[in-house]
Amino acid sequence: MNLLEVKDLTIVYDTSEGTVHAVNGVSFEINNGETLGIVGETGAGKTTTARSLMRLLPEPQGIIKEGSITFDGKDVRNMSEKELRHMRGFDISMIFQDPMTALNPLLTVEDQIAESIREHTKLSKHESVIEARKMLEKVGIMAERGSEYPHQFSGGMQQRVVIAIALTCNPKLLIADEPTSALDVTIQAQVLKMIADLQQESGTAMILITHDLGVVAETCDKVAIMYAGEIVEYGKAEDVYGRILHPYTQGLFDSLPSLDKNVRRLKPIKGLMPDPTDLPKGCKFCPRCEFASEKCKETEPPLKELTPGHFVRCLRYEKESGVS
Amino acid sequence: MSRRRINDAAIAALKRQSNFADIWRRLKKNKLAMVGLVIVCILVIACVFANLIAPYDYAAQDYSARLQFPSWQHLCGTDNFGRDIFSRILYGGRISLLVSLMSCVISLVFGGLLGIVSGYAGGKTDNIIMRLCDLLMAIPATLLAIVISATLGGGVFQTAIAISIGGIAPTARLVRATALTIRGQQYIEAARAAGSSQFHIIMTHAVPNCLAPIIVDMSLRIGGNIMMISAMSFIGLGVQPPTPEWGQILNSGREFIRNFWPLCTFPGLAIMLTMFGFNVLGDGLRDALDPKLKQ
Repeated sequence: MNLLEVKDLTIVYDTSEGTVHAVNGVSFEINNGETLGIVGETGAGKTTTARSLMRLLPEPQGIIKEGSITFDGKDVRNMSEKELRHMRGFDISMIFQDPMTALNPLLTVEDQIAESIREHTKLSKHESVIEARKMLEKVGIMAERGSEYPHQFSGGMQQRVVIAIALTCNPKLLIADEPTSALDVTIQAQVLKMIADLQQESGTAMILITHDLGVVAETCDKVAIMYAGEIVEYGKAEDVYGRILHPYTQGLFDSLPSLDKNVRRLKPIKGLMPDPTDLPKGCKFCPRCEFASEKCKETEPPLKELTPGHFVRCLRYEKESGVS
Repeated sequence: MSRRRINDAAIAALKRQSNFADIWRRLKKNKLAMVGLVIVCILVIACVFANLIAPYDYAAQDYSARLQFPSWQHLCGTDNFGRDIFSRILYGGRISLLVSLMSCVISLVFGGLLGIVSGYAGGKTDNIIMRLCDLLMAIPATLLAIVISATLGGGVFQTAIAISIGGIAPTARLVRATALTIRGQQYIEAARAAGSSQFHIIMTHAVPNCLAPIIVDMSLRIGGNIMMISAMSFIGLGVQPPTPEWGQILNSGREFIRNFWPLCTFPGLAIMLTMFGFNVLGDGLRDALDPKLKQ
């Protein structure tokens, strides 16, 4: 059985300006210890998808309209507040994008880690602080510094603290929402390696949200490329990287600088993401797609399994015989 | 990278400073705040032990010694009934400080609670609470205090309630505004993602982060409240004579201000010192609560 199964997840934001279709029929699954990379532009619905897994959507605007989220055999959509609280931080935990604001400025670092321990265990205050210090050592921060405040740490170290908080209860699933976006490039690799190491050590599954395809290649077993709230390509990392199917994925790769090819200019994807309150009828990517035909504007392409485990949502592969 | 550098025993042995000790350490460094703390302490002690310190009974009249200027016999002189002003200020401080602090606390508890619920919950709850506050704020605070005081009658507790009601709405506003900015912070969300309960989040994350502006507001409010008490006494509500009270002594000196200054000056000084003490202490406390400002 999969650790997490998401089926046809549809999420809308009900705002005064209209209904925002943030996530439209997303499905994926993760096994124990597996890493899934969700890649896409800003506004593709990556974060919304991730938050919905813990039922952390902003209320009352964010609504899960359809679909199911099954975590460890339990239906997340029907969980009570108490069950949710037990799940959050203990079964699933989350690393936030910006470590500067994800830490309470008034609490010492060890207290913040200890708090998350005490929320889910029966340890005393003192014991939990000791656990917190051990956790700090694990993420490469001296235990002595535990009694310092977040502002006394650099961005990279703050992110380590955030990671320590997330991993302290040995969750089954870790959601890392662009964990390195706020860090500078030299530290990014360090932090990612640390997450990967700790993840392997504890056998935690991970969802890594990013817009960096390089990061995904290094750390992920599976990749889901998201565009306008849909998964446009999904499969094992080596399959997707080995044979890029969707024009959008191709576009993402083309806009990466490459070391081995001598390119004078990068090739960005033209145009912008469609307005999520008013999505195009057919293929969502069609206005920006160089292969778009008339048919693309009218018919919504289904997610098709082209080779085992490798899905794509594009009409170009309509005629190819896939796995049925 | 994940190999630990020191063993468990060493980790357990590391010193851990409680939050409170940390704040106190930072407060101690601030000289001005310590001056404020000393002033406040002296005032409170002097008032609490007024019966031991005061050289005369606050109501004892001596018509042979009316309107005496300060001397060794009467440190602050005597008033128009020949009562010792120093003793009256000491006893008066009991009422002034007690009522002022009490009404501050009442405003803070109710205003703070309403504000934090309002700011944190948002939506309909917020709307209802804020409109109620508007309703309260539409009535001038003095008028409100007069009406309530007239209904409840005189007395220390009644006066404190009368004054505090007017302070609830502004406090709720202030706390709500701060809570709103805090609510958007990611650490609140991070705490939710870590499985903390709403109550826990409010108590450990929201409230401490809201504290700074509230402390400053409260330290100002203490002075304002003392003035309000005297205003109430002036129109015959609130604390009744002969029970002394700073504002009341100050008021009684108005008629003599041209040729007898002590009657106005000393209670005024007492009020000023109190306000200064609380303001400076409040400022220092706010700084001490913010770990970023230390050193």
